[in-house]
Amino acid sequence: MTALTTDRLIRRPLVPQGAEAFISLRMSPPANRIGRAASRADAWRAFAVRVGNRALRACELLTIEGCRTGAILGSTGPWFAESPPRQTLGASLRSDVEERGIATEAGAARGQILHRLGWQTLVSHIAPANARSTRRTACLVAQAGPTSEALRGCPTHRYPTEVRP
Amino acid sequence: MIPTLKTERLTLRAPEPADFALYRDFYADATGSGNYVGPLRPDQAFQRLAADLGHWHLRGFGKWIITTGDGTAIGGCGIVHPVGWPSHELTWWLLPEMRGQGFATEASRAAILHACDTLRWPQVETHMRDNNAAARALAERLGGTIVRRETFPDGVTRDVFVLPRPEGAG
Repeated sequence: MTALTTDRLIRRPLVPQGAEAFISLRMSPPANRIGRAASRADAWRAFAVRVGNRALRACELLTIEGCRTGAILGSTGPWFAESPPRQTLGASLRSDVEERGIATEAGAARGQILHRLGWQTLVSHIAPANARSTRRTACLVAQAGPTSEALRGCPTHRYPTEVRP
Repeated sequence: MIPTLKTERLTLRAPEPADFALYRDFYADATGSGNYVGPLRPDQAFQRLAADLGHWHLRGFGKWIITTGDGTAIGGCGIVHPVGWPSHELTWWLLPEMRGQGFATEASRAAILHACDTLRWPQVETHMRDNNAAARALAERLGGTIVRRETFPDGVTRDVFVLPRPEGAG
């Protein structure tokens, strides 16, 4: 996947040099995120999982970089799990950029994801205590899914499938 | 990018999507995978496969899939060094029904030779929990000697073995 660029953001594939930024992101608060890493080794393993997933599934996590500074602000992208619900959209951002609308802008990549991968459905799971992500996802017109689809206590938010780039 | 190694009975090759079945079956067995953070759910086993493949891309070395002469995948072997961990480690795992036939020793020798001759490493290390008798026996069979005892980031103290380049090879 080539880089996706908006006025403020560049989204591009993970590169090995991005490991430290990903580790720092993965270990930073808030603690109510799904998958917060307890150690550097755990955070690096999560990075390796995503790099490997690109080769196995051809679905690619992207780093989110600020156009002006080049700083890595977070990551977003599709995840294809082995058990249902299989096709999910994830996003995580550095805690100091959460409130600037960056995640919403980054999440708008979902249209391209659906189109490029040919997926029919796309969901996110958000911890009930993570009010910011829930609010952000509501902005992306995701609908709360049935309780039966919750993942380890985190409700499913289903994106409309008619979205196209 | 990931080299293929051949031994007398085995091929060590890159992990690929179809190896999910091997990971799923191995990690579903609590007894067989107990020394390898198992048992794991299928989605967790998939993440192990993805992490093992990602390790190659990030580090330039990693764990191969071990296959027998007819191409059957029976386990894995290689050298790993996750960021956040103090040292590298030769590691191996086999489906329970494939143990006791010298496959882990044969695959390990090939992995050590690759490290010494291709990566030009001065030495290869491995470490294991005190109660992992099978891993300790294999390290000794490979001619390993204990060079230090170290407490790792997970709080577990382990003996660290240095493994010599296999004699009579290459």
